[in-house]
Amino acid sequence: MDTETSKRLRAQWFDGHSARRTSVELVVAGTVVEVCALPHEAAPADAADAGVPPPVLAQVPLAQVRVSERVGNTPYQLSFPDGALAVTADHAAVEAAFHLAPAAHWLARMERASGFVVLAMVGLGVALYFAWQSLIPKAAEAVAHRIPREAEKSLGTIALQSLDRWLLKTSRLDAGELAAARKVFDSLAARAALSDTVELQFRDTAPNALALPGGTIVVTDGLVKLFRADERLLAAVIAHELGHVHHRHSLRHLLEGSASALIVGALVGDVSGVSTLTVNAPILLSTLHYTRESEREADQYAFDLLRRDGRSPKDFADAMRRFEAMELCVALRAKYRDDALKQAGSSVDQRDEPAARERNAVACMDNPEKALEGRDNELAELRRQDRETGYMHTHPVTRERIAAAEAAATR
Amino acid sequence: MSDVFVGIPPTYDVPANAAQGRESNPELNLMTLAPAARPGEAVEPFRFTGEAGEYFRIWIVNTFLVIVTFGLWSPWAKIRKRRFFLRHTWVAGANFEYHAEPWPILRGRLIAGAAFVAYWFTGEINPRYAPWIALIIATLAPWLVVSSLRFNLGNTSHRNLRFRFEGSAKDGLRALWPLPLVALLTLMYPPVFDPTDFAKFDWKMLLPTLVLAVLYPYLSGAFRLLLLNHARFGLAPIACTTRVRTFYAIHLRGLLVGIGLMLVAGLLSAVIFGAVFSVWMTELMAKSRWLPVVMGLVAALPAAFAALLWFAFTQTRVINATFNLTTVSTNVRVFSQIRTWPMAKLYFVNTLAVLLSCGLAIPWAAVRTAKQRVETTALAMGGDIDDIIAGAVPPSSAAADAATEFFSFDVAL
Repeated sequence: MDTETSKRLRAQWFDGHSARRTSVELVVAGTVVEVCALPHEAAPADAADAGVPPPVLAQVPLAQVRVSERVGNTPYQLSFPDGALAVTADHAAVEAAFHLAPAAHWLARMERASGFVVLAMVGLGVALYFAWQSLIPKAAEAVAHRIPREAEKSLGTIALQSLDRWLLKTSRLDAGELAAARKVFDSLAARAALSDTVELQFRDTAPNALALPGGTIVVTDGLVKLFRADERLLAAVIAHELGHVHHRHSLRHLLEGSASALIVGALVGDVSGVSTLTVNAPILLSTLHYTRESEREADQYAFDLLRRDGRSPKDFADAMRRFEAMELCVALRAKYRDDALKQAGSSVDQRDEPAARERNAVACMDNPEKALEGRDNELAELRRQDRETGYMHTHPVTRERIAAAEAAATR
Repeated sequence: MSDVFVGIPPTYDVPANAAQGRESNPELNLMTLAPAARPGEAVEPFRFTGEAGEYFRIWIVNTFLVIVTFGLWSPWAKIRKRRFFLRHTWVAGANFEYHAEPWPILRGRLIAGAAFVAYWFTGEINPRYAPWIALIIATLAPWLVVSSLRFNLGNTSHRNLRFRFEGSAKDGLRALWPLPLVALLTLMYPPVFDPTDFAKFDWKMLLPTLVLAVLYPYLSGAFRLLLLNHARFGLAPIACTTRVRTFYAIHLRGLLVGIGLMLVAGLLSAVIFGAVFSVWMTELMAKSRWLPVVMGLVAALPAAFAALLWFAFTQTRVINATFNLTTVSTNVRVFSQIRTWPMAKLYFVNTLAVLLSCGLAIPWAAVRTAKQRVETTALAMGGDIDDIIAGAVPPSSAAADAATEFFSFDVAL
């Protein structure tokens, strides 16, 4: 054999019939590969027969040997036509003997090129940001609008059933209040071209309004009382809820949540034993981001609808201001009460505490502005302490919403 | 990371008290210790030669391709990642290889993905149907799991001999019957809980959870026995003789240890919460946007670590008790000696690293985990492994494997 042009490399040889491992030398001469057994380390007696040529296990054309693609620094797997396998970590020798460029496969080349690795890192970041910021919400919107509203109906029914069981009580508004609210609702729903879709329900609980999947809008007694039957403010809140229905937000949140979960799962999925926090924290943060975006979208829809109904987005600003006053009032009363308890020590009757809170809450919810009169210093102090952690909230910061409404009103 | 437990210690002596039969179930000694090597047996430890930096390149490039192709690249990525781990796993001078083809996996994933979307959508949109769908999936689970094992083992080889899985759907059902049972019970006694009215509380709604808790050790043990007792390496049968009662013993100990750990962690968390709500802290917290969240996480750390320690306690014992009674052919025994503390520490550090690096530490965590799992295992060879010969590779489908991934059955030991 011509040793000058032939290339030699060490490998482990497995014939495919048994688990036997043989240390071999592959001799590549021209277009032929020869597999020669090395003297077995464990049986030095065999090696004693010096001069006897090593047994040739296989001799095949070079072209018939399939070299596996290279994965990192893992050994090359050389498959022979009869099913035998040679495994070798001598990458350079294989690449030279089989005339391969280092990491011949395009994928292996990408993985080896540090420039491309950095590019992939940046690209992954950009792609994920783009998906999160734009692609997922847009795709969810497109899909949501293609799903008939009927599909959501039972979801809304079940939601209202469980809310009724846990949270909501039968409305105690009188017929006049109900009729006034209905009139505002019907006018806005007709203007929004959603009359066939939406349905208004009243329930008794703290000031709030919700849009359920399937188009049911719930207005609470608390909200009607807080607005003191001012139909301007009520219209603003109802317009916002109609925005949720128009944009199919409940369905979109489902789709967006699932898409986020799928992507985070694909990223984190292949490492076991990283706890659920790693998976759930990014999903939670992205879900909250999407709900804030939906609130902004519903606000914008409300500004437009109010104008079309001959009203002004300023009504929305007023409604939010009333809402904020209520929240501040409740917070201030609670703080005031806590301070009083602290100063009085244990002498205050603890059993009185829930009842007092209830009285405070009622006062705040009936006329928060009046309850807050003359307490500007305390309010300023409270506002100073209340740095809102925006990224952890379902709604945008109230002051931003008021500013947006006022900006819309001047346009 | 020199303090991570790596490698089997050189001696395999069972402690003296075990020899005296202090335990009523001698298998329990094998929860923590590998058995002693017999005279004439050669001990061959498993080695993992992959490195984090090397895997990072593979991981980032393939993950990037998966994201920009909307997941279509995922079969190629899966094969490449699995080849990295298997080709870097060595025992007795030979490594492993993964043979699956990307196109069948892609087809399987598309089919399973479509089924999953239908399942997800029906369940999310109409929760009334969700328990029915869960029942259907749980009933299909034995067949899906068995098909998935056939695919994964059939596509894995060592020393140029394929593994194979010969269990039937009937074998699968014999091991996994608790799944459809619990799904059926959930359907019959749905969890409807009214926190405002305890008088109406119906104890029967706890039945599915209780049954699952009681059958869980059976499920976890029977699944491992299903896998090992129907697997072959070439023609050589693999067998595991661990008894189901051993899994009950392990999980019962785990329950006691878990209760103890949770008490300690609860106390620590309470102390931290107390500090957080002290006066100066309240002032400090009010000034910062991020501090409340950071302190919340810090207060949750003891509980998180206790949960990991608890998980590691049972997990390591289940792994050891299973592998230490596993044989390949007649003359190869598997030794396993994975330990609680190093495993809990590994998982804890992995979680923190992945969170703090925004996911960039995932490859590092994956390599560390593989290294620990692989290098706490060894083979004791009583004879020549060369005698094991090849068998035929049965056909298998990638669709069932993809389905088990989507519906997240954990098909792994």
